[in-house]
Amino acid sequence: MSKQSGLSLPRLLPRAAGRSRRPAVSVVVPARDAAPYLGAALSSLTRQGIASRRLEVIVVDDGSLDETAQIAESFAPRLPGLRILRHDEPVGLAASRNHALAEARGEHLAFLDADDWLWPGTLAAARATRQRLDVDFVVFDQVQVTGFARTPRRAPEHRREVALDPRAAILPTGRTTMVNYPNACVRLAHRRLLDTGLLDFDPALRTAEDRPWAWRLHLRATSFAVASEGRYGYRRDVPGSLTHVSDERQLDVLAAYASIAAMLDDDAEGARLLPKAVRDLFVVLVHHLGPDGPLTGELRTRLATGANGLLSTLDADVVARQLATLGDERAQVLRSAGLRSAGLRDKELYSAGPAA
Amino acid sequence: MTLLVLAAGADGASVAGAALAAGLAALDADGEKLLVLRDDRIDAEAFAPLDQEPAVVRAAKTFDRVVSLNAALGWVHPRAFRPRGDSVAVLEETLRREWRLAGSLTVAMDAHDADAERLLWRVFPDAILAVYIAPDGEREGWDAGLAPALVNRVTAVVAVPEVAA
Repeated sequence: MSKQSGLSLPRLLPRAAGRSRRPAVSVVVPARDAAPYLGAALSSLTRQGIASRRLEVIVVDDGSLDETAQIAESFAPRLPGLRILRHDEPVGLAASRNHALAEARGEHLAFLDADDWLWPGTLAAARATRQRLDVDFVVFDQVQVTGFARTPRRAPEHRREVALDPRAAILPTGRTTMVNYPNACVRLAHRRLLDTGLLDFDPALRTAEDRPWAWRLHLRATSFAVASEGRYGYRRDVPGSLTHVSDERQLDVLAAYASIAAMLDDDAEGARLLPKAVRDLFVVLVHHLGPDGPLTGELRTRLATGANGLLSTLDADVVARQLATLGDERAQVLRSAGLRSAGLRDKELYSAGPAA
Repeated sequence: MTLLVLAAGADGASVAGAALAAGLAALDADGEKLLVLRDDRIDAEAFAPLDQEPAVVRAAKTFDRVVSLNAALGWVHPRAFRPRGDSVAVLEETLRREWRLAGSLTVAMDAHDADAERLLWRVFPDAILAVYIAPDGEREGWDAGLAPALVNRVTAVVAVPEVAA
């Protein structure tokens, strides 16, 4: 027995040591002119219940003109696994995340936007859940923050701490499901998803990049779970946040849904899942084109024109059926904005054309 | 009897400690004295808890225990919390359990903080109330804007002469 142990040690020790060199979690933090908030974001990473030497934090300074880089550097003593990647010119959120992912060495990957923060222990709890259930990724809850007001936004899947099929969490069509909770920052993924290309973002998308990302994750990953602990603090009142931009970057939502449709085209269950994507697209369009939406003037027209083009490439029956279930008020918003009836069955709904 | 002294931030904790010495302690000489800390930062959870700050550590020595209002309220920010109706009774029960409070209470708060702290006055409807006034505070007018029903419950107003650095 002792002889066996003695013989095995030289083989086992280097392997064990090799495992311990990989960080437990790599956190990707893209930051552009984030000086007012980055300190809180990085401070929250010092309280995640993961040994600091096993936490890799990759801040991507995406061409900041403020003190973002200096603030990040100031955290080096508290975050020994801190790495800072710099872009002389901004490349955008998606490309910045991809850059960090390409550098990440962690066993798990997580995302934190520079203006948000994680509740204490969130990453440790998500990691523990992932390891216990050996799932591909774990989702946790979010709190939306506007000043002192906070609104909890729980992951739509209500079953907690059990392994689930990500594909089964896409439907039903008419309800809020996991693809309607697309924020990459509320997910912790095992490295195997990175190695199989499921964590990269489409760098062409300047907004809505999380939507096709979440769809792909739920289509192609094999398992996930929702953690019962942990929260992501999501600031909603940050000036200049991509969530609030009202310029042409918002039009990228069409490219995002075109990407989702293309994924479904190649998917054996695409026909069953397409109604969900179409309905969600309509809901997004109603938001953008409605009276309180962020777009005005030419951008509204361009979004409507682009939407007409995208819808004309989709199964007309599915489009018509989803339009019919939207309700009169929402349909009126779309009609007023100039969505055509091309290819749609619901001639009555759209025969009047754009309202004056 | 238990004395709860409410304070916001590290500076507030220093003032609360001085208020204890300035007269609050005499309100409940033999009872347990708790410092109830509130962190007003919007992103309070991102930072180390207040009770790790040196000023709070110093102030805490004058109290039997320190508890966190933020921690007790979970995801709700204390500055946004306005208990109403049935939630008041539920919250009283929750806080009594969480903070291990038994029997009658005296709740003291910084006069500057009157509006923000009303929630605890409401949560403990049978508590005796007290107010402490920081050295730079006005003794008059602390009750402006407060409902008379609350003001009438205040049995002591303690002026803090100075706060040790």
